[in-house]
Amino acid sequence: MRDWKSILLCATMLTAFLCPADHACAEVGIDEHLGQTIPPDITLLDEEGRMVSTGDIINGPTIFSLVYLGCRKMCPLLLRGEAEVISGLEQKPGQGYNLVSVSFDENDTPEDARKARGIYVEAAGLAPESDWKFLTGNKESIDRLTEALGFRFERTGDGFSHVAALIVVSPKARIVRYIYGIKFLPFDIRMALAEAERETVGLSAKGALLYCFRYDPEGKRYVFNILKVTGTVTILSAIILFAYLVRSSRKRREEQGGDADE
Amino acid sequence: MSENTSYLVSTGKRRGIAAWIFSTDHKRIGVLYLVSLISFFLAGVSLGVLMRLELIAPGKTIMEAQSYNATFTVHGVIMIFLFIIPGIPAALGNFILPLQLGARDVAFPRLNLLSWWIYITGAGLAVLALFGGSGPPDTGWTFYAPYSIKTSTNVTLALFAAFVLGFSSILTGLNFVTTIHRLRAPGMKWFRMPLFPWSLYATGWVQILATPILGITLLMLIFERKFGVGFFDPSKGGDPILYEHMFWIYSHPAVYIMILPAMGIISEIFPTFSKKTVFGYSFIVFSTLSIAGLGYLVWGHHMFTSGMSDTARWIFSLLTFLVAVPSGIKVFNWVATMYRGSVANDSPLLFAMAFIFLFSIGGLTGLINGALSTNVQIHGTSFVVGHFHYVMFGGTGVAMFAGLHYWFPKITGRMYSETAARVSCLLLFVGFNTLYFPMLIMGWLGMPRRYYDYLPVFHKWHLTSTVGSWIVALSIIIMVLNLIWSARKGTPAGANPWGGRTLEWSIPSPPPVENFIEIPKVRRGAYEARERG
Repeated sequence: MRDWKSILLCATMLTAFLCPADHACAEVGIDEHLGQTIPPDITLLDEEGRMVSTGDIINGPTIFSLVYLGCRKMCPLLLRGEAEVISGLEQKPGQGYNLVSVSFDENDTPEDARKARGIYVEAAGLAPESDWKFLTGNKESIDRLTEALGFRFERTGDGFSHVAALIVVSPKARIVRYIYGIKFLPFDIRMALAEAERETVGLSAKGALLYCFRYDPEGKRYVFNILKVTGTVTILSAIILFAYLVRSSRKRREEQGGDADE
Repeated sequence: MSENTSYLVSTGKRRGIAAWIFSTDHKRIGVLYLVSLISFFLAGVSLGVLMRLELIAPGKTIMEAQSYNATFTVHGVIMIFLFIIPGIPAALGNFILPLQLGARDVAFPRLNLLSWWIYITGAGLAVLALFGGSGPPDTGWTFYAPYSIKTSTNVTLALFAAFVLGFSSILTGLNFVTTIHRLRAPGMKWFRMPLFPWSLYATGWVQILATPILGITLLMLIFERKFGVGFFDPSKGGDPILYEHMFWIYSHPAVYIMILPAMGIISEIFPTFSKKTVFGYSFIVFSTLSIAGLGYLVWGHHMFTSGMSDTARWIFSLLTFLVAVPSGIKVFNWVATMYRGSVANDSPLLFAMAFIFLFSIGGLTGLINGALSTNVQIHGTSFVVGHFHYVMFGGTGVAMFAGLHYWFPKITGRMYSETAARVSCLLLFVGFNTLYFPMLIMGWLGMPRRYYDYLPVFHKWHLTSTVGSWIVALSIIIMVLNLIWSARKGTPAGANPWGGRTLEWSIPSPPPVENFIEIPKVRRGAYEARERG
């Protein structure tokens, strides 16, 4: 009986989770557009407010990261991760490849971009005038660029919901690889750049997709309850089993007494 | 039919294969397991050889990236869930345990048969997952969320297969624990019990306690895939790190389900081939129990780079280091057993010595993994792959081969070719180090695991490793052929070819159906000489 009760309890707890899932997130994510090209005529603004086009920027293997500059959560982690991995590479941006961060918040200004650039160029241990571009743009350009890259984001409250990833583009503006996450291995970056150089489209590391603002401590607590229930039931059953085995074996031996014959 | 009829002769109303697959005789079930396990092992080896072949040169060699992902997943799933976790307990344990205890069978013979059937069902489902539906799983054997939730490959069925296999494991554990408590021969006190049953006893408890966690974890993952419940997917408010915790809460103790029985076999072989009692019997017993206990508390060391508090990380690191202590005690005791013994260099001992060498490398590289600072450097590299192959294959695999050569005369009643056994052992040892040592080096230099392609700097190491895989494959072919041939044509071995002192050697080979015509009375420790009584 006791076992049946615990099974019932677990079953009830499990069904408690069958509530409708939060579908808002379906809008956020990345559709991998591997092998597709980015139109050369998307115009953006550099840190000095000068117009640059995607055709000008992509003159070699290029690593894009999409962020918004008012972000206090994941974007700084992404950029830090990028800075960290770049600082470990022998080949620096500008020497055979480009590093470009684009803001997808149309309210960000070249002024904001200049500040961000200062911070992360220093974090990466690069020379101040080196080639890590921080670009901004108007709504139309941003939409065209993010669409070409397959990057879907959504405005939520005072921020955005989005995915953290680096997108590697070949000299001919073809997307060759998506590298997900906020921490990167130098190996992945070197490999991706080598592939981009050769115009080889890679299979992306489909690692953990990280989402902003989508963390639900409430749900986690319930899951822990399931764990506690299962754990307690398992350990209790094991203790009861052990006690039973010890007692019954002793009784059996006593019954046998000194005479060991069965 | 006399009482001495061998278990190999079918006497009941069932004939042919039915007399085997419906038998409740622990010896027949042991052989059933052995045959199934070795078949899966050979399948896993073939996949491993294919992976090494892909990595022989940079770039695509024989398969696409996606096929490579599927290959290493299937290799892992087969080797872990179908071979090495059931491995020694289900095959050799089933056969030998009641014989060593002086019992006629295990405590629940029907449950024993049921657990084999569950195992075969689980294995069937796993095979179905590989060939049916939308392609073989490509997640790695760990099924890490959230990718395992998002991938379109046949993960659900593979998860269900692992879930079913878990039941088989629990039932075997339960059966052995009860057998050891209740069916020891009269006079066999706990500390007169041989060390292999001790290791199965500790393993049994780990199976009973840890496997349900895997069950619930896999069920949650299946729920999440099928019904979109947000346990582990961050986009639904779940926590992928939680999956890693729950997975490793089982899967680390599972490492001890794999290695403890292996240590049990080695503890049997050294006294027999040194012609003396084991050195430090009670130390080996307590180290077995403490490994089983500590094994529950170290899972976090798989996740040092996943995101955990620093306090949790150093505690897990410390506990991991503690496991090295009882493991070290065992290694010293085995070696000390040989000291001043009359050592007979037969192939089981050669395999056992290969075990000590390879397991020691596995254990010491384990400390490199367990130390926080070095772990961050080598996490996710082929160093880790090298390390766990040294422990799992060099440890458990080689110990299973040692046990197989040790008990082969008892199981089949025949002796194998000693020369072929020695050749296979030597080739295995050489090939093994050629195959896996380069992985340690490459990993240290930064070669990530699970990649089908690599930078040219790693080429020479990959090439060496691939050549090693051929030597290992050759040694396994020689070994399997030797054993299959000898099972049919070998010379009769006699009851006790090695001069073993435990109870299984006191009955004929192959054992009669009822094992012991008269249940023996035990008056001395397991490895003490008979004459002294």
